[in-house]
Parts: sequence; structure tokens; C-alpha cells
Amino acid sequence: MDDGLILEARMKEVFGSVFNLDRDEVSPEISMQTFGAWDSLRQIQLVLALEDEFKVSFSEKEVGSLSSFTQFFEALRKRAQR
Amino acid sequence: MRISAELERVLSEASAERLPSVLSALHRVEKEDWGLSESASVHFSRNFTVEGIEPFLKYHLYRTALRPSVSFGGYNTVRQDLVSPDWERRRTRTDLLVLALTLEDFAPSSRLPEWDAQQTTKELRALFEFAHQRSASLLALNTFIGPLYPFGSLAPRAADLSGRIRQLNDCAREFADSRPGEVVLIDWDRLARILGEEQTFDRRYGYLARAPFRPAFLNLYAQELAFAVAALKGRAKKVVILDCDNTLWGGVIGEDGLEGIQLHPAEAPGSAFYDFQAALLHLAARGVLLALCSRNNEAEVWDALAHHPHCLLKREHFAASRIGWEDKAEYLVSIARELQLGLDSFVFVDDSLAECERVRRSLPEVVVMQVPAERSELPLMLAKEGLFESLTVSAEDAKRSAMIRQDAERRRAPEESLQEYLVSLQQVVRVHRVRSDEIPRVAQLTQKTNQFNLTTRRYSAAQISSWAEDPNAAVLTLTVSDRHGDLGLTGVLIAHREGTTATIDTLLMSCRILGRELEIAFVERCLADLSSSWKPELFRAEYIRTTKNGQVASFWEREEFSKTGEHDQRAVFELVPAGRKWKVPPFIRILEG
Repeated sequence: MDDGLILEARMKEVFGSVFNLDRDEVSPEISMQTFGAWDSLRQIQLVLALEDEFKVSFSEKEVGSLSSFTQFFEALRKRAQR
Repeated sequence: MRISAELERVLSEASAERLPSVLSALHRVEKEDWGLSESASVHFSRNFTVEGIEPFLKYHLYRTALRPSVSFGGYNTVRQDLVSPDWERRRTRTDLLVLALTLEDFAPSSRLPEWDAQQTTKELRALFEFAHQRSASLLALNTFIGPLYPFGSLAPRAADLSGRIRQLNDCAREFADSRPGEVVLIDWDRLARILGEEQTFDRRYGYLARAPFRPAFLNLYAQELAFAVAALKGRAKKVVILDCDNTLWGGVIGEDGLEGIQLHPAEAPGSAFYDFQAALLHLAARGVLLALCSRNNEAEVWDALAHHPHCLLKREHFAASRIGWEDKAEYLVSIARELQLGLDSFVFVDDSLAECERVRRSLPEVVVMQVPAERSELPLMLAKEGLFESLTVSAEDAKRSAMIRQDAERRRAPEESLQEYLVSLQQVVRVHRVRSDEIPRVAQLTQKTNQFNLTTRRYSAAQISSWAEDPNAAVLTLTVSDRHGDLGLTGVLIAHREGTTATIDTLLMSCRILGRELEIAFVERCLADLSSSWKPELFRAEYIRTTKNGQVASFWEREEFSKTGEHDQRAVFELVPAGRKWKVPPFIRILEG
């Protein structure tokens, strides 16, 4: 499995635990605009859970702007490449 | 009560420090019905974003086998919330009301150098008073965290920001201390010291969303709140069962001898064992019972306790002992029988993995703690788990081991007929309406008593207090002494009046006074009191079966009540008081008031 797929699988695990979904129910299409349960409190929980899982820290700017699975995916992949 | 092995496994696999791990454990747990019979309801009235605590709090409540429900009042609207119809509906169903306040949000001026802490202290106290009035059960306050990076830390003055915050915290401490059993204080400042800056604060979300705390901090805060709920629900442990060799001291007394075992206030490795003994003395002073269960020659153990120059624990600190070569699980069962306490109130401490496994397997209700391989972790081992946290410590608690010893003397009384024995005890009792200084002890008995407890209803001090004032309620207490000493407040009866019916809501007796016909004297005396003050046409009483209170299943029938209904675990009884004579056993003396 390439790094992108591993990252996606681990992210689905975290998204699933935050939104109370099974891993397979988490679609990479998911975003704040399209998913009702993703409110501002969930956003905080999601950021903290992803930071804990991937041992990273998002900037003030990022936590205000990252609002979809793909955006978080890109932010995490960039960190992994560095 | 014990959580099912499967639930326990799911929870213990999760690591409470890690948010994703707690979230997925909860995700799994909440999919199923675990048949948890008791619920715990916690409501937050707060001035900042504290919602992040929810998964941690639920996690810790599930760990104590409580079905959690957590709710939050509006953001920074404490006063409005606590007078709202919504709170009015929740009020009596809520076990714990948490007033969660940060200083910056409570007093925005606290950020400025000219901040008037006196004024803030006054306002804070007024808010505590208000929340306490509006709470029907337990209220939790918090301290504020002083600045970790103050200007002028080299030459601190009382008027510094740190000093002023200490003054506020003292006010909170005093408020909780003077309301035992009704108000608890969660010391945020201490939690922050445990974790440090990095793990406590999320400065980023503090500014962006008024959510200033890291998950690690919320986890510890949740754990403390869960301790408070567990104490309220009678889940606190009551007994520590201790091995001797490599537990109370280093080495093996049978091989190393009195001179060879390791136990010393200043020299390692004995100093860790010395500090562990000191921790056990602290627990004993809070009313936790200590017992020995070890594989040794009994005489050598007593010799070490009596003659080792640094042994803090003496024979009289132990309420029971089983020293010998039989199976430890069987020893525990027999200690439980002797102390008349449930095995689920036991914590077993041993250095041997085999013994720990044996007890875990055969007595799953006992909490088993193995002496850590790192001896330096032993002294704090019991304190960290919060297993013994109680809401109050009463005068009775401090005297507890002395009382248990007196009990042993009572049991060793010369062989004589039961009647002669009861006469020789010279029992003296007082029965009266609860006095305000007795309220914490009464609440504590409702929370802790399992065996002689007809309905097993748990009440907070706040609830008892409100009944003490209510003309349609009566809370009666029993205080006992005999020729061996004072047994303290050991019985409670709570009744409610509705029209011409008086209903006995609660009747309980501490297990240390059973078998002496005191229950008859107490109940008869209470019924006589209620008959003359309320003049009811009918007494109604209940028995609600639990796994612990089988011994009182037919109590009301022995008291000449007739059974009028039975459903599931609950039976209802009635008695027409007209013409009934109240009888007190002749060998019990009743003092008025």
C-alpha cells in the first residue's frame, strides 16, 4: 500500500471515531459544507484527534480554513513529505 | 456492581490520554446495551467551551459501571440557565452539577494590572451561593490556574497576579470545605501542575473558540468528576487487603529476618516501602480498613509490626488478618464475611503475579493491584487511581479501626446465652430528627450501606438537608453506644407524609451494629415518633431487592407489616398503627433527644 492510501485509511479511522461512523462509511468527499454533523465543535474535536493521531500541530490559520477530508489529507501529506 | 468483562476489556484497551482511542472505544461501547442498571447524569453550567470533555467523562463513568448522560448549559449564561425551565426539569435528575468557570471569562478585568481581586472574590462567592441553592444534588466547583509565566517571578509579592488568584482559590476551597457532601472542589491548579503547560493549554483554540484546554487536561478533569459521581453512588472502595513480603517491606521476613527486611524512612530501597506504609496510614485515617493476607509464619509478621524500628503499621491498624498457607481467594472471602462487607469494596495488593491472577480470576469483583516492578511507583499507586475518594470524612471514619477492634472484643465475649450477652452490652441509643451537623454522615450512610438497607436509595447531603426542613418529610437518626465504647451514628430512617399515609422511603443500619436487636428498637422508636407527630392512618414500607440485601427481605413482616404487593424486585408492605403498642427490647436503654 502506498503512503497516500495508508494515510487515507488512518484518517478514515479518526474521522469515523469523531463522527461516530464506521471506517467504511467515511467518504473522502466529506466536507463541512456537505455533512451536517460537522459543526464547529466537531471541527475542534477532529483537529485535536488528528493532531493526536499523527503527532502534528495545525496552525491557527489551518484550523480556521481546513474544512474537508481532502484538505486535511493534503495538509497531512505535506507534513509527511517534509 | 461489576461491569461485564467484555465492556471492561473494550474500555481498558483504550488509552485515556489519547483522544482518538477514547473516541473509538466509546463508539464501540455505545453501540450496545450493557444492561448497566445505574445511570449518572452530569450537567455543566459554564462560561467557556467545555464540550470537549464529553467523551472523556463518558469514558470514565462507563469505567465505574454507570450509564452516563452529559448535558451543557448555554455559553456564559450560568445565572439564566439555572433558573430556566429546562434546568427545573433536569434539576432533581442530575447527580452532579458542574460549575465550570475560567477566570478570564468570569472577570475580564483580571487580565489587567489594576484588577480588583477583592471585588471578583465577592462576585464569585455570590455565584457559588446561587449555584449551590439551585443544585439538588452534588455541586462541583473548580480552582483557577495561576499564571505559569508571571512577570516578577523572582521577587513575588502577595499583591501579584498569582497572589490574587490564590485568594480566589482560597474562597472556593473554604466554600466547598464548609459544605461537606454537597460541594466538591476540582483543583484545576493541581491538574495543571501534573500535566504542565504543554498538556494543559491550547492557546490557539483559547483565542479562536474559547476552548482553552488540551484533551489531556479535559481527561484529568473528567476523571476527577467521575470520582465524585462514583463516591456519590457508593462506589468507593472500603478495604485494602495487603500482602507483607515485598509489599509492606522489601525482602522476605521468613528468610531475611527482622534485621534484613528493607524498610527505612531515608534509605532506598526501604524508603519506598516506608512511604507506602505512610500512604496506608492516610487511608486508614479516612476510614478505609486495612487487612493482611499473606503467606508467612504469623508470629514473624506480628513480630515485625511490633519490633521493626521503622514499621509504621501496627497490629491495631488491621481490621482483619489471614496469615498462613491457604488459598488467598478463600482468605478474601472469609475476610469479607468477617468484616460483613462486599468483595466489590475490596482492593487487593500483592507483589506476586500468580496471586494477583488467581484473585482476578476467581473473584472478578475485587480490584487487584500488583506491586509495580519500579518500587518507586509504589507509594503513589493507590492514590492515583482515586478508588477511595469519598465526599466527606466523618468523625466516625477516623475512629473506624478502633471500632472494628472493639467489635472483635465483643465477639470474643465469654460464652453465655445471647440474651445474657445482649444484656451485658449495656446498649444505649438515641433516636431523633436529624441535626444539621449529622447531615453529611446521613448522606454518607445512604451512599455506602448495602446490606441492611431496605431500598438502597442513594442521597446527597443537599437532598437530606432539604428534607430536614420539609414538614412532610422526616429524617430520623440512630446513635448507639455500649460498654465497649461509642458506635456513633449508625442508623437512618427517612419517611414522607402524603395525606394520612406515612411512607418509609429509606431504612438502613450500619453493618457493625447488626445482630443486637438495635434495628427493632430503632424502627419501633421511629414509628412511635411518626405516629404521634403525623398521626397517620397507614404506614407504607418497601423492600427493593439487590444482590446485597437479602438478609432484610422479610424485615417488614417481622415488624408486623403485611405484604400488599410485589413486582419484580420490589415488595410493598402496610401497617395500620391504630392500637399497636410500640415495643423496645428490655436490654436497650433509650435516651431522649
